[in-house]
Amino acid sequence: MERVLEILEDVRPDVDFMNETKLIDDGIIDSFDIIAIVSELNDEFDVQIPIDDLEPKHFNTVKAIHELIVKLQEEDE
Amino acid sequence: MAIHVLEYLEQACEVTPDKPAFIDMEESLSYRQVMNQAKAVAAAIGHTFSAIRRPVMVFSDRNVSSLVSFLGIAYSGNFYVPVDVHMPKARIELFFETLHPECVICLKKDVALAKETAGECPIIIYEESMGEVADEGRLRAIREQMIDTDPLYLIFTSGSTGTPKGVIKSQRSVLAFMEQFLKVTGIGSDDVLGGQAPFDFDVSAKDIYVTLAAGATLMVLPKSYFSFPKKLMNCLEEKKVTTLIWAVSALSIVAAHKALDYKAPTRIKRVLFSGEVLPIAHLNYWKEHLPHTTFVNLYAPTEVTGNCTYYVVDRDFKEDETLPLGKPFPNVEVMVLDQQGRRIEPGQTGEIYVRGAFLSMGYYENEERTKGAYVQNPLQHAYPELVYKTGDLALLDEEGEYHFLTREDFQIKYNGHRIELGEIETAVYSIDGVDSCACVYLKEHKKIFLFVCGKELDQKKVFVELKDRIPKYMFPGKIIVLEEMPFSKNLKIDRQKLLNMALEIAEKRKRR
Repeated sequence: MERVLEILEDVRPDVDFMNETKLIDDGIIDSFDIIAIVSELNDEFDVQIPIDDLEPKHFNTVKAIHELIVKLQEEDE
Repeated sequence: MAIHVLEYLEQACEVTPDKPAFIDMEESLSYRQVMNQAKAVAAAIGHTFSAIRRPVMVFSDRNVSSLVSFLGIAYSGNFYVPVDVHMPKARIELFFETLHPECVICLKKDVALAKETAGECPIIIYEESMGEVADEGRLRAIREQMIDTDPLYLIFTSGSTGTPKGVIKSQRSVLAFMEQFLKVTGIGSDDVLGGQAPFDFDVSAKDIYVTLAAGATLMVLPKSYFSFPKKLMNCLEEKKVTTLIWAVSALSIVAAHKALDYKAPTRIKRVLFSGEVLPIAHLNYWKEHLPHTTFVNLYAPTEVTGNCTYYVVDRDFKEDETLPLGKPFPNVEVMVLDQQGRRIEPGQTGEIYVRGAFLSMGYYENEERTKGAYVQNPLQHAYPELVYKTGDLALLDEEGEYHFLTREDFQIKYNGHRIELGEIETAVYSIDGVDSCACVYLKEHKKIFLFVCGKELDQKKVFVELKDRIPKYMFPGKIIVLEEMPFSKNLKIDRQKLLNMALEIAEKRKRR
């Protein structure tokens, strides 16, 4: 979770990721951010986030993003 | 031969008045509706001021009302300047200062932004202008005064001194380009374009005027679809989109997310792309999933309306190859010259110059920069003939094909936009407490690194301040606050050292 947070804060140092619960729904992060975040996550965790998981619900909170990564890593094993 | 682009609209209106011209997520406008609403906008402008050939700003977004505003301004005899409503306020203010537009058109929801940034400039609220009645007599009188060398629109492009440059486009350049572009691409009235390019980005002019000239339909795709590409793929299929004229970065997003594995739209006849060099891996991904689609590589700087070269992908490419620039469109010449102003031989590199009717008119209220870029044709001195000196480099290979090379200055291609690193640096220097700063671009990671020095600074402060000054697509991928800036012997910032530091940081993350 910390590594996810680190990536998010690198892309958007101005956002309080720990307390935001509607990152996408409230338009806090935009398409440029999403692209940057997805590519950093793919590199960092050696996963490929599939298009089926590119849904707003997986990106609204740090927790949701982290859960998505864990799920993908488990599927990989 | 047409004199005014509105003739495209009027012609389509006669043939297919009820056919949808522009569609967005909320509404669909037929050709007749577009024409009537544009005339209403022109009437509202006429109540605000009566001059012609003056700039009118539009707060644009991914909606058909932006397009109607553009055409309304054209009806009023003036030229439109699209400004993305999501731009930082400070930049919008800079646009107002550079232009002194006669008025600005915005939606009701953006009035607060307009009031904050427009100063004394009158504001026309789009929704209110819809109640206006067209004054046909006045419209005719205006049209009689217009000639095809009059300006149609202005697009801002990044400027190294921190002030964006406004490139002015004439009616003539759009008409001349469209005539050739339709012939070469074969786009016709049966086609549906899926518009990706933001309206303040010159690629979008092709979406607009190809649609009108062909009597086709333009589906304006929302920006958010490019972060969640399932929606994008469903939309392309549902709306029966046949033609994509996209920025390379948009094609790359689809390839990076493997979105075509989820669903490959079945009606795409052609994909045309420009903005930067398309990585072959991404091209191959598209080709594999759309085997019957024609792919075309387009090239032109913003100063040339439309494009000047095209290459129809007619063979397989390996990942270490680059796509050629191809050949010039009919009625435009692309010359690649060495430093002495002579045409280059195979195996040599040179600078790209463009001549012909596709050229824009120059930079708005910027004679100095205009003179530096629009120069006498180096190949002849017998009569006056201005050509555009692009600053782009090309290599002529042994087969006689030109290939795009990286820029010779600090201008880069990033997120599909042309960006001067100097413009970012100027914005950073305007932040309180910044002692020195420098941007470097890591090509292989497609990332801008900003190094900045200042006692009271941290990453967050720099980010927050910068957000108010430059648009998102220019944003550095990584901000690093340094204790001390490295300097070379002649007391210039040591950019090579910064590049090495950036590379080390980028590689470290990968290795972990």
